[in-house]
Amino acid sequence: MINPWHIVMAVPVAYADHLNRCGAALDYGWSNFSLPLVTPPDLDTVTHYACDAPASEGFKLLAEAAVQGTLPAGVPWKDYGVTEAQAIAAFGAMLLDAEESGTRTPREHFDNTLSQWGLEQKIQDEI
Amino acid sequence: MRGLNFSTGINKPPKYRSLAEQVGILGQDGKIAARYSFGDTSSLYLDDQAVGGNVSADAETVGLVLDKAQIGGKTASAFIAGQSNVVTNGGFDADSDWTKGTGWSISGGVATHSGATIGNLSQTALTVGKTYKITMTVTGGNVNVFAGSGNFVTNVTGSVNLILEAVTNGSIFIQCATDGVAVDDVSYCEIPGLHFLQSDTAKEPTFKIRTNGSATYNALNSSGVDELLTSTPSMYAQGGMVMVFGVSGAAQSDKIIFAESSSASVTQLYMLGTGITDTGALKLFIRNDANTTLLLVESTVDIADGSPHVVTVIDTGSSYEFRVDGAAAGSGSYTRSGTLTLNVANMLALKRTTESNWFAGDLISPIFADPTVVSAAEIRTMEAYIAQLMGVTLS
Repeated sequence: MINPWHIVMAVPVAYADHLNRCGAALDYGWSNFSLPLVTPPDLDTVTHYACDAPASEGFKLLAEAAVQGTLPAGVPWKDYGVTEAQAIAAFGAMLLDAEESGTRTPREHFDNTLSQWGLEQKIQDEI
Repeated sequence: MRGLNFSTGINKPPKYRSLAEQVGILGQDGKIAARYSFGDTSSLYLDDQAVGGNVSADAETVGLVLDKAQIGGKTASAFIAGQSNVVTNGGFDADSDWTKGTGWSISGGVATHSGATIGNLSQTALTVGKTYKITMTVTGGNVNVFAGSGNFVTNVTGSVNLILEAVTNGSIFIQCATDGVAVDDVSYCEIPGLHFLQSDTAKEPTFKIRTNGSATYNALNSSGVDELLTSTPSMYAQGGMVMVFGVSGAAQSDKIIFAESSSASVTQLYMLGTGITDTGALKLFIRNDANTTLLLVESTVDIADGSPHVVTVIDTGSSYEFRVDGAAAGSGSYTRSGTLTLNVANMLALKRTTESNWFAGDLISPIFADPTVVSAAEIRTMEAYIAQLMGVTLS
């Protein structure tokens, strides 16, 4: 399978811009972390942004290493408006959970992981 | 006995055409606004736009969905490569046609940047809202490539191969801050039709191979967390739409299957999705800029009940009709009034000032059409085509 993993990632608001810039530097787009989360009991204040995605083995290893402080080599972070130190800090603040695809539905994995982290998806305004 | 005269056509035997061919012919006649046939995977949609490869494997993410009605039987790669280039003097054969910002010069058949001060090489050639396949050759360092002022990819080099939608002002910018970088063979080729894009990897839906009894079909799957595809709106503005699609998902409240919206306002909306009163129903909702609801109706037959269904929506601009698996599921009339200022077409979720209302489930081969140019029989052909893909029996 091309994407044998399903991953859930979240980042505190203070690091979201830098982590999105890191995502762009890695060629994954500019606004992957845009799903607002709250930390109960406060259901109004956005504390984190999240995303989920199918992931290759390579991406999973890259992300886990980055969380531990080892960034991929040769990425021109500063060209994307973030220093290497800021990238290390942003990845270091990132919450990450990976499980084999098909273990649960992506939605179940996402919701259960947020619950373990003490977070909830912010309830959206009505259409 | 007189022989049959095949040359006049009078006694010509009827030519058998498969449902796929019949739907394709509708497209070739220009009668279909857009057709996304997921059954034809190798030629229809590409994954991550910067990668540009065709999707073919289960669980692969999908970043670009091409309009089958526009590609005329070609493969996606051949179709994109065959589009005409809107750039003038992209080969830099003369020192003309380009606006040379700081450091840029044109000489010897290439454009070269000198010095470490950032500068733009530019030309106004794009149509805002159109999607372009961009190629160029960059040597000696990196450049940033823009399609309008706000949509860009940074630090590209070598044989550049991108797909971007043109935004504000429609200008091409090639931006560089490195001494000695050379650019050549610049082309921006428009990809016509309503093509849906997602440039953030985490928000891309997933290609899935599904079965329903003996039928095996291809679907675009959304987990309902953050998947979204967007394009340029056209359906409400053309006065109405016919949309025929396959869907499979559980009951869910107020989620988007297709919508047209504004990225600057939460008010105006042309929405097709799941219901609120009945979360398994199909909902059609239209609200104008003045926050006046023009239509809010739900189908009488569920579309989101965990089983695959063929869904038909016919909106003529003054009346609507729903069919589920070919059977009547609601109809009525309404009046359009006021203005809907719309700038985003959405599939699987809703992009307004923020993104929301993610649908969880499968979407199968949606076809959009203008209700004023397709016949009732042609709509039935679309339904039969999708039903055959999914192994659904029509009423």
